[in-house]
Amino acid sequence: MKEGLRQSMAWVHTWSGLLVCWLLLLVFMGGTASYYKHEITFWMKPELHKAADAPSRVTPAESATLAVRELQQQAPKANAWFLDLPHERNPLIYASWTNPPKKGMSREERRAAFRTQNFTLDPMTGLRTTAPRDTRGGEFLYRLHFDLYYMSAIWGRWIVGIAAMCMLVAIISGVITHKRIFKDFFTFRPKKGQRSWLDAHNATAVLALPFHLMITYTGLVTLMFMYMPSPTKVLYGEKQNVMFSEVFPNAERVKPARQAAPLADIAPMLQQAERAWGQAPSRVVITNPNDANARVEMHRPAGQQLSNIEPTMIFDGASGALLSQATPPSTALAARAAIYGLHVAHFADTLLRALFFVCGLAGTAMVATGALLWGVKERQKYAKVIAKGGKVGFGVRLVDALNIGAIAGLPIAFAVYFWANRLLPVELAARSNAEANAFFIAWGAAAVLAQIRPTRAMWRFQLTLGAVLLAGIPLLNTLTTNTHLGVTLFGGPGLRPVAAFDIVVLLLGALLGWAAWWLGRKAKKQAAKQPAEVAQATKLEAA
Amino acid sequence: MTTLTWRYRGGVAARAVAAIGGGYVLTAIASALIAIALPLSRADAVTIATLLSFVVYTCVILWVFATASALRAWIGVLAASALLGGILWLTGRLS
Amino acid sequence: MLILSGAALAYSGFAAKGLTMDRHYADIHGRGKECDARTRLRLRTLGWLGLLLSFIACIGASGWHIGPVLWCGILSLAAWTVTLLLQYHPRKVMHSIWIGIPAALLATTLLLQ
Repeated sequence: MKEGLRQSMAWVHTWSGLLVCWLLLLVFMGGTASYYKHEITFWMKPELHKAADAPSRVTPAESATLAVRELQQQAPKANAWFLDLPHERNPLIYASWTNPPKKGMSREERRAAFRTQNFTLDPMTGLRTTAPRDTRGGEFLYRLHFDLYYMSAIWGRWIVGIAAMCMLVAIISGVITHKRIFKDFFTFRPKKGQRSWLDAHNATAVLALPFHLMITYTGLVTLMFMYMPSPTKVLYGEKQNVMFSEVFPNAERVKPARQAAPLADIAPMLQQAERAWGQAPSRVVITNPNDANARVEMHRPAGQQLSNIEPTMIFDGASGALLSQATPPSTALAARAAIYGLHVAHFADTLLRALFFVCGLAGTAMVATGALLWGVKERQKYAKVIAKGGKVGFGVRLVDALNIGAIAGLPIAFAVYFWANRLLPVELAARSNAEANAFFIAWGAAAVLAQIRPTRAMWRFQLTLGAVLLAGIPLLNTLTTNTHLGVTLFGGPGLRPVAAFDIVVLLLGALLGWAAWWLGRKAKKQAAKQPAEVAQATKLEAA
Repeated sequence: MTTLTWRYRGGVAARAVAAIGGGYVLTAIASALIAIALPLSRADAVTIATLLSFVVYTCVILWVFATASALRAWIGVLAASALLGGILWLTGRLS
Repeated sequence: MLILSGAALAYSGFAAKGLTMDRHYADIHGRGKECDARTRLRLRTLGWLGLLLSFIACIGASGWHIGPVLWCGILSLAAWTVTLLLQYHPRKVMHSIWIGIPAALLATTLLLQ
């Protein structure tokens, strides 16, 4: 550690990165997918596709009225109704509600109940769509990347938070240690072994450095009060809920008056908001419906600002009068909201969202190439040992196995999740849990196989399997639904997300397939070399 | 090339504890002080201080590993914590 | 269209900078050859200009809040493109660098509307 700043930072970069890289691969893959969580959920509910295909000429006000009418029948005693009105990323009306919590209901039970408390309406007919299969869709992948799974959310968030902090340290130490960061800016030299892996790592990292730094820091900020409670403790003592009500003033819910009052017509309120903003609200939240203290909150659609907290207009539910427009936040609170907003990127339109997705993939590649680079470097140290017939150390073998399990195994898990969505029987009990279990069973199998045989052959096997499973999804789609590529490519705009999903998984599958092929070509090339060299090389890899 | 002596490993372990554990404590104290010192409303102060805490933590961790010895790292973290902690205690805000 | 010209400007800017670097210059003009000081200064200035104009185009397209975010994404894409091209088709980089000029004209026209 006495060797100077660059060397100490190189050491920090290696270890802060290596210790958490496999978890980070899960977080990055899940998070990157989450930018399209709505589209993924829609793809995973083929029952809704027909309704989405017909172009909707229904106004937002009409959609909202339809939804409220249905909610009055379905959930008149709910304590809150949530309406997502049709917009370009989702052409259907989605409504959900929460009931007053029953005594003795655990959080898990309330969450499970909430997942059933919703319906989807076709705006053209005003009727419910065919009930979609029970699936969590893209929400599973979204939650996975910070709550993890099979553990309480708090545990998951702490584990991911620690990994994120390690990543932040890795980024900064990486920048400090990168000696030729400007000279090597555009450098990529393939076919040079360790050098090439380093170039790939640098290219995916440095050339999207603003994104990586942003996504890591903003990720920590999303749960910052949990990770760093000391400022709250010192200013608010134990009254954390007071802090939340001051920092998030618009989240305050007014209590019901316990006095019945019919809900006023939604449409004029919605139209008033539309006039004020120049566009219709995307979301309507009605608290205490049919109560004297009912409130109707109109939310402005995302796209104008970085903050994820959209301005709202709040109406009195019983009279329809405008009560307040949400006050603009202070600079500090606006900054926090903008930082949070950058992470979730609600504001991103089609192009920008695609850029976020590509940068997320680059982040995944950055972590993967870093882990692979470590393995290649360490393996070199064992060259002499291997030439004498020895084996690599425990560390190298473990890292190799973990690399296969995460880099090649995770795509298999994602693919299996989508396959399970198409193949599991629709009436299966706890179906959404089964889909999630399928994800982890596949990942577990891949990881265990990798531990048993962390060889080049295992790499090729898993990459090929991932390629076949991912690229096979569009084909699976033709066999299991009516909205496969043959239909969606020529259908209405409502089905474009389904087509896009099929195309993206096809491309990702092709990418994995190319990787498997490239590994195979390398092996063939080595076989064509001198026998002595081959023996050396195969020993190096088999050890 | 650093040989993996026990002394080396001990140094690394000592720095790791200083950085991760000591660093977290130091960051918590520093963030609390920033929150108190900022001439803003409570909500604004708590927000800015918490936002900055991750920057502070990163800097502490990097410093612990960059500084010349594990001993210096520990002295630095302990001294800074004691100093800032003392100031924090003097503000009378610790409940 | 504005975003497209912004992307072209970013590409052009990075290409200009990349070509002045010893390694990439030598790849095109021969081993050991280095860019002379005048050309280097000219290309690097044009490079920075391209990046600046690309920034303005992005602000024009998406405003002061979302524009910079868009610009960062565009920069990354452009940088990756230049990197791959400099490795596999370095001469094409040299020939395509001029895309920045029509892009700048297009961007200016659209911004002045």
